[in-house]
Amino acid sequence: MPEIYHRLDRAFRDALQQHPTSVVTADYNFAGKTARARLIGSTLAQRFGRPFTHLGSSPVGTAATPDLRIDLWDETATGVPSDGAARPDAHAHAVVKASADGRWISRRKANTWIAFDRHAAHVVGAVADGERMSQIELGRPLHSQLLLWLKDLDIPTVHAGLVALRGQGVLIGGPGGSGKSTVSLSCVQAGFRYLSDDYVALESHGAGRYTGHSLYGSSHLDPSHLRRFPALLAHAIPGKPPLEDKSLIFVNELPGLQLDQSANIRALILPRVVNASMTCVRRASKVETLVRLAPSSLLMIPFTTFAEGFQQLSRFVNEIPTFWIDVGHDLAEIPRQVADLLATLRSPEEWSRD
Amino acid sequence: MAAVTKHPEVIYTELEDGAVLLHMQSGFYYSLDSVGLEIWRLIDGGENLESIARALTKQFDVTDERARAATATFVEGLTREQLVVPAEGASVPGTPTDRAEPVVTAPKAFTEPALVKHDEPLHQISLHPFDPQLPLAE
Repeated sequence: MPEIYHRLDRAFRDALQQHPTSVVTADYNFAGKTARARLIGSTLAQRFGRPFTHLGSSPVGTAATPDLRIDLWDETATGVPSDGAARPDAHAHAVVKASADGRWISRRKANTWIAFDRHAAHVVGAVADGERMSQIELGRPLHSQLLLWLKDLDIPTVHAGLVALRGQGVLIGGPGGSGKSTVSLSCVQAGFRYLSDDYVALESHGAGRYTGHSLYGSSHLDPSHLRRFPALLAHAIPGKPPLEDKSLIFVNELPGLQLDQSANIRALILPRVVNASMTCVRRASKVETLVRLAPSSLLMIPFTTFAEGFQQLSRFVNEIPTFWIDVGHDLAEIPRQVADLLATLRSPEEWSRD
Repeated sequence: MAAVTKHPEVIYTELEDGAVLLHMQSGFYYSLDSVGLEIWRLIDGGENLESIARALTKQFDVTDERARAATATFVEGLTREQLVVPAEGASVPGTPTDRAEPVVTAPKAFTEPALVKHDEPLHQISLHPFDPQLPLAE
């Protein structure tokens, strides 16, 4: 397994040597850590950075040694191959290999071959053709590797949305189709800051204090959501059926909407759509919350055993205020209810700082 | 009544208002209320159902008879769902086990313990973090 990592690393250095002026370097802030990316191939560089524009950190090179190094090259643009072996079919699952000690992980799909040295915090890999990146590669580049890196830093990821008002965040959790994106987008359109509608890095500070960190400025939406939010239609990038049944939207590029990198988590809300005119918020028991979250959340986090994810999620649910939000027909009520909830949860110290 | 012990393939977590159990073989989730959680906590190789019922009367406002009946019904449910299995080396019924009595200030209100099975089982449970057969979430 380390041989795959070393092979890709050598090939990247070959690409670097052959195309020294084609390298784009960028720093990104993930959960307060700096990731430095070197990207060879202009299309690759432009597409890789697109979901991360809200996470750009201080000018490149000013940060001390980065916490994560990312080296990627475009095989077609550079003419430097990763190897000549056959690639998985476009419809196949990724081929994942791990060393016995878990230090090196490689992940190969039709258009990408990425290796991760967890001890060195170095991701290196090839994109076969930057012009043919899949919807997931465009919207969530290096998804598995970033989540694993953060997990290694004791910052696990939860499958949930996150919006914030004046730095105070509300996590939005639940199974697919429960209304997470509806709640997230309604709030963002009403002036909340957007951090995520699907994956949030969760950092614990002890005593029930958590910070939620944004990972991507993109969103993958069902067509039904686009009908509910017509303003998004013009910005939606349709997927290629049958595998890509959602549309990709770069929320970080939508006019008038703002994103945050991080927010204090003040509550977790569980949407459910009801046949009523009014939207209302009420307390959810811890048992109700965990049963609602666990089945969908735990399967969405790569490289985590079920037992481990279950205990992490349970700890979080036990420590954070939890609520149902019964979503009625009037979507404009959603942000008002969420704002009212935040107001009731804020500490006196936080009020006095505004 | 014979003693039982927790099934080794069940993982669980205690929450402030009960517990959630997951049977790793069947993939089903279950939830317990606070009384059910107390019984679940007391289930181990050394406790028989009589001693569990006795412990409930110390913590909850409940008669011996009602505690015994509720415990038996609840444990039957756990057994039916294979969340517990017969224990080996169980103590003789009626013999108190060597366990410190919990300190109880005022008995809490008693409700029949509930075991709720949730409809949708998990179809795939990863036991190894780098399972190559697991379709990683995109």
